[in-house]
Amino acid sequence: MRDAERFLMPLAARGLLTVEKLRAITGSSALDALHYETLRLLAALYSKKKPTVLAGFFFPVEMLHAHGMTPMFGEFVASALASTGLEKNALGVVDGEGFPVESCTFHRAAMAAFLKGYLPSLDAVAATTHLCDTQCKALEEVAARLGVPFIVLDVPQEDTPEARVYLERQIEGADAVLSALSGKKLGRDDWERVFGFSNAARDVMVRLNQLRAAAPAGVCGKDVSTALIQAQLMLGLPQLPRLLEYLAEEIHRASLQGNTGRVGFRLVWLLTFPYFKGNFVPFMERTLNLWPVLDELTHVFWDPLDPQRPYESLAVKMLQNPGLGPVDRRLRMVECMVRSARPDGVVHFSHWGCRQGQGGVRAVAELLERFGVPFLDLDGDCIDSRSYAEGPTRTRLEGFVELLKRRSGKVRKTSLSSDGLFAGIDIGSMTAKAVVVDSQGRMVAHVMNATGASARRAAASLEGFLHEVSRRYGSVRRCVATGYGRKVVDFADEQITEITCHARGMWHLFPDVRTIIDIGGQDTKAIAVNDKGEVENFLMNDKCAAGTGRFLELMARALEMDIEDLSDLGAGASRAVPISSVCSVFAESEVVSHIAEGHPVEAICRGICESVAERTAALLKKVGRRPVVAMTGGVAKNAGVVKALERRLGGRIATAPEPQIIGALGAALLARDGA
Amino acid sequence: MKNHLWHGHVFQSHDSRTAPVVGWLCSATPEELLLAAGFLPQRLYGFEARGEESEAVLPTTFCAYVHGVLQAALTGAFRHMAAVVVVNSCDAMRRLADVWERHVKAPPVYRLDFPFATGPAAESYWVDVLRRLAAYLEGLSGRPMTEADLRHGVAILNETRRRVRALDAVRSLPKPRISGTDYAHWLVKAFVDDKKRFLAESAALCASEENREDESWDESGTPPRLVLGGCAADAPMLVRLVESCGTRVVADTLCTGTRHFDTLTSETGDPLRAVARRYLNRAPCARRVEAMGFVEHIRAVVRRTQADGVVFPTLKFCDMVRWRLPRLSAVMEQENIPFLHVERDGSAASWGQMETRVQAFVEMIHARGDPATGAGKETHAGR
Repeated sequence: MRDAERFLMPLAARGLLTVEKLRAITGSSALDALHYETLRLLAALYSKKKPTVLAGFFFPVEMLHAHGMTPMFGEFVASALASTGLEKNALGVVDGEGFPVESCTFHRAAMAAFLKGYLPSLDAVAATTHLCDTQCKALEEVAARLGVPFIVLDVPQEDTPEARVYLERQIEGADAVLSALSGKKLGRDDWERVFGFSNAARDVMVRLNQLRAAAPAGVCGKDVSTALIQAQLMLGLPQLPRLLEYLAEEIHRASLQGNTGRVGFRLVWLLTFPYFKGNFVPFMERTLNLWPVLDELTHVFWDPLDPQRPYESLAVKMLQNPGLGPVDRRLRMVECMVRSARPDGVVHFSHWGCRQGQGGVRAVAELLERFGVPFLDLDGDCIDSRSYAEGPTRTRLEGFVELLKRRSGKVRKTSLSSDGLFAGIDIGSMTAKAVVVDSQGRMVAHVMNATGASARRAAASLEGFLHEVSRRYGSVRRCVATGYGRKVVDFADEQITEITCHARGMWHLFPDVRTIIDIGGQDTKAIAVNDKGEVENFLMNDKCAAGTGRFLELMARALEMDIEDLSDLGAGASRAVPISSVCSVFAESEVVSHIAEGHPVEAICRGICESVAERTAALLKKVGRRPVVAMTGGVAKNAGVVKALERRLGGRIATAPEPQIIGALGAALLARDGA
Repeated sequence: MKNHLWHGHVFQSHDSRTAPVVGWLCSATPEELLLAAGFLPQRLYGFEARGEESEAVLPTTFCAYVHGVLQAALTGAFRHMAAVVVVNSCDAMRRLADVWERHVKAPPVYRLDFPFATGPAAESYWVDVLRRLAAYLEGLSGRPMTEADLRHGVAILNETRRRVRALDAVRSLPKPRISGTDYAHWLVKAFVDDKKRFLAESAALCASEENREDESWDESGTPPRLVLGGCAADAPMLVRLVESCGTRVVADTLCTGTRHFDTLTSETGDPLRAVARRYLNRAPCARRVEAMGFVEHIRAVVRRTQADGVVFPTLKFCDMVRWRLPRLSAVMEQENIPFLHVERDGSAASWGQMETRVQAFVEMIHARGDPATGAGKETHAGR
């Protein structure tokens, strides 16, 4: 262990502490004050004046405060690492030790903090078994390596009388272990004091959530959520209720000042927030005006604690957690938050590795569809900045904003006069396209180039094309840019995501289309549209490349052929050698073994096409497939995939004659619509 | 008699004249209770293939076992069953139960809450949980479960365990009559077939083995003796692959293998409590709060069988087992036990890759055992 690094975390904590102290004194913002208190606990962990315990987020922290100990959640250590940018290097060490890269980074980063020597010596480690398998496993390993007592509360899945007794007895046992460390035997006074503060804080939290639910967009966002998540480490401390009161007053005042002039959207946020340095939340809140007003982790689900029955009431609090047991309990919480906040939309931030959260996404989506609330399942990672894909994340969020705008009628309507020409520019990951339409929406000209290494250069070349068109056919009145490179098209009047553009373009060609599949180089989209060609709902593939054009490209490379040949051979083959792996790396090795086993190449090609079709069909099922189904994007030219998909869906799929320019066509038509 | 060929070697026989079937997934499911209630317990065994249906309702980041079972369930493979018991084994299984309730029409799923911890409090809770399972099964079968029924169930299960362990002992002999692959087929029978039929069919083999004389170890030219560990998996497929690389799988620590049959249920005292204790106090799986117990069990099996190494295939996205891996591989290294970890993604995927790795592992073991290299077997911790 490098000694210099050993001091990094405490130093970072102290440094942040000083900054926050100044801010807390000068700015007197309740958010700063709450953040300062959290950092004070982090610093106390290093100063070691009191016994210290590293715990899982769901551990009853009141009991640790009652013993006069300094608690710290492993998850907070992880977010501290992430917010300072230290997580990248540290996670590399955990991965190198052989811990699973597929599991939650909150817990991998806590383990990383230990392995890198960022953690101080601790007196105990405490975990619970509910909601998250990895929490308990990771903390057990940290405790074993530190050689300190490991306290674990096994939380049953159902709140039954027997479950309460079981948990109560365990909490009693944990109290005895803590007594041995603190030298303190808890009496009635201790419980009354700590539960008194915890209950007072809980009361303010309930009020705060009502204020958040009622506040206009722009008043409450991730900062408030984070402060309230941090507050859960302080449940039972005397200063917490007062600080929360200040926060409530601030939110109340800000809400009275009314609309901040922002026309924003209010969200209910499910699971948790990204904490890595340079995450997308500032962009989401300030640029896109999407404000998470309520969130899952700050929902007050528990009843006040009763000092007369301390163990039992802590047990009940844990058993009331909506994440326990069947997903129906979680759905009831979502319903409660949606009813109270009446949000414009709900976002589920599907933190990579959180199986508890991700496994419930389908059920959440179905619930919100029943309620008619727009829903976005956003893939990402809260801690690991290396997993952040900026472009795809922004596209999903912007696509969601376009959907919300349309629903709220905040989209400009078509004007009567739409004379002249209109251009759409689509800068994709592989190709850059431009389409020009006239006032009737008829295509006047189009062009397609390779994007190459520079999206900016590709855009400049398309600008030249537009000048050429203007010279020949008349001036281009409006231009809309789309695709991953849409941001660099500075001559465009507007940027719109490829989701909305593909929907518009396909609806123009096929007015009966209701479900659109767009398989491009980077991702696969399933888009549901209404009878006006407007996006009703959309889904995109997760981070994994399986089922995308990229996957086909990798497989074609393994077979040492072009994608076109793969497509033709796949379309012509009478049987398929199945490729069952979802992971491109595994799939590539599968293809290699099939070759080695002497399977005919065309059967392998068909297997590859079937594999893409299977993943696409699954995505279509999720979005809710309604006829007519049409396909766009580069892969629509791949006859092998289209045929395989038609076999799976048991019906015809309409494909555009030039599927690669549909995004640009849609953009041009939207330029005309918005004129 | 109708035989359905569901998947590979795993066949299920279902006959309307025999008892209705209750399916189960996790090794913590007390089969005694299912038998006592008059059901035929049948493990959902050997389903590892992801599919379009399962991918539509559960994220890709769930293991191939959960996806495979779900895919089979969504396409009606378990329709003939009266119910399926899903244990609160891990996040993936809990979410599988949710999806099952919402998207699989039949059979219904029963959630069984098996504790992570041990000790008296866990035992009392677990007894209560089993009492509720018994009541559910009584409702399902429409007849009460008597103490005699339960004792009968315990007796059959214990006999099955003794038989599986006898077969396990046979395959671990220096010159066994059955290979690890043969043994794995018997295992599957014990998991999915009628226990009585399994006992009747395997009786002859065990009787003939009892008359065999002890053989001495003859190390020259014997294939490497390996222990198979890892995640819940299709044991016959894995054993066949590992043995096809010129090895013998002499033991396993799989919950879908021998470990499921490891401990007997006491036949004295309150039978329900005896059943509860049996499931709580056996060799811990990776899920239980007892990291060293999991590692110890594997080390003990290697010692007992004098094996030359351990092959440990895990399933991608299995947090439980994967978090134990660094500790396990450290102990194996400490003990000088050759250890191979391979990551898999389901039944059909990446066999070629795995085969190459196992072969390289075998070559490595041979090199270790070759006197010319100076690393003789006498230095081997397993010997």
